[in-house]
Amino acid sequence: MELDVKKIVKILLSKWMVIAAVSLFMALLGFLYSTVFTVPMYSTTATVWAGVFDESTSEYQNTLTVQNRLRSFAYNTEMPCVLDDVHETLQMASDSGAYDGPVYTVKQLQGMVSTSVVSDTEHFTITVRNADRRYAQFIANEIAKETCHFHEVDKSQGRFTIVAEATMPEYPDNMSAISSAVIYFMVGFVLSCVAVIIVKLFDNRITSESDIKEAVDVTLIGVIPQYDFSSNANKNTKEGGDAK
Amino acid sequence: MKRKDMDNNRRYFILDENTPFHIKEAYKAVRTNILSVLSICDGPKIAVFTSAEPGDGKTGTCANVSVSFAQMGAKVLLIDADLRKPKINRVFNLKNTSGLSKYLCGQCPLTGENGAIKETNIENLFVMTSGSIPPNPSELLLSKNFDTMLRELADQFDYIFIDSPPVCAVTDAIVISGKTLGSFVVVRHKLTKKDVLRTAVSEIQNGGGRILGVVLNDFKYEKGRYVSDYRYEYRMSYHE
Repeated sequence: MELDVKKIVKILLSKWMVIAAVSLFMALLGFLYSTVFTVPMYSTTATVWAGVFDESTSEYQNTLTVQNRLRSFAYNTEMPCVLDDVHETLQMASDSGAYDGPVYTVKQLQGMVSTSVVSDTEHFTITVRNADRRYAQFIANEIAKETCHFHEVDKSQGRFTIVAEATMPEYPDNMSAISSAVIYFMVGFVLSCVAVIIVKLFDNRITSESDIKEAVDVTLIGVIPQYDFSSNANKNTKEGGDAK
Repeated sequence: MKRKDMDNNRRYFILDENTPFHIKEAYKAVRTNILSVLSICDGPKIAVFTSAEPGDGKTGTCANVSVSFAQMGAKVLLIDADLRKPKINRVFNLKNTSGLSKYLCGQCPLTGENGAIKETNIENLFVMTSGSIPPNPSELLLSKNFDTMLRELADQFDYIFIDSPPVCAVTDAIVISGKTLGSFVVVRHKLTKKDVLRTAVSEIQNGGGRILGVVLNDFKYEKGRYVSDYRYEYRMSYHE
């Protein structure tokens, strides 16, 4: 089945209304989905410096060991060993009135926190994602504090310092309604173009002179236009039935 | 429209003074091309109108091309050789008690009061209806009587057009095509399939018949698609 670009363009232009309708419909769908069905989520990040230089032994750890240890610290931060304390802190803060949000369980906290190591440094980041920007900030900072306490005080792993506290996020993470509409529009456009081309490729009916030429190498001797003759009374016209 | 709906809703029109200008011109164009094609063929000017499948518009096209030729001043005979589902009698509101089948069985004369050939109210146009539906249509069309009849009629008429059944339904069209100059195949826009058309053409050719041309029927013009905007608008407005 051969196709050239010109033919594809002709096919698409012949169905431009269908393509436009589908694309606009998808854009509307994306817009509605973003505004009505999607809850805006906010992310904020705290950064911790894990000083792994051990002064007592004057030993420098090699780079690989440092990175491995940092990954361990980051990993521990997502674990109940740290989050248990965070949960308790939230409870106490809630009781004292310093925190008016829900007291998330450890499992819920694990669902909203993520950590990562900053490469070629001794830092790792703690990111919290929550539907409420205030809670996201509060929880991120509490986790940062607890992980520093856990590693430095409980486990004597070195000196841990919060170098950047989590700030209150201004905008949600999710795509804006407009961006969503644009992306859905593009998806709708591509899908409808593909569908139109596929339908046309598999349409075996004769729709033009070139189709006749393609099917049989026979001369076209005439084209009779479509004609609705029902409005024109014709004494020789008979709608089925027997002859007089 | 689907093919079965075409069958159920079939109606016919005949070119007359009420027919829009662009329709008449389309049939004139077909007539002109048929004249060119037939002029280079040797032998009696007898041609078949057929199609791949039912509902493509061969009866209507055949009837109106015959009318167009008659309007030109030629003496035309239109034969309804569809002995299984005859329609020409309905198109022209003619009795079908006597016709081709009865003539081939020797049960009626060619002309006269109960003859197979009837006059129509269109000058120069004569019609041979199919007659009553016989039990053996293919055998009648294969018979020597049919060949003899065509030879005799070729002397009396300038043009003979034969409306035949669709090729993919029965073999009658293939049989008749071999006895004439050739066949014009009617296809319907957005209904006839390419592979079915291909099969029909090859069956006629394999049966010894010749394909003289294709008529594209029921074509819906889209602006700028088949003819240029100017030509289409000019043609449409010329007669207004």
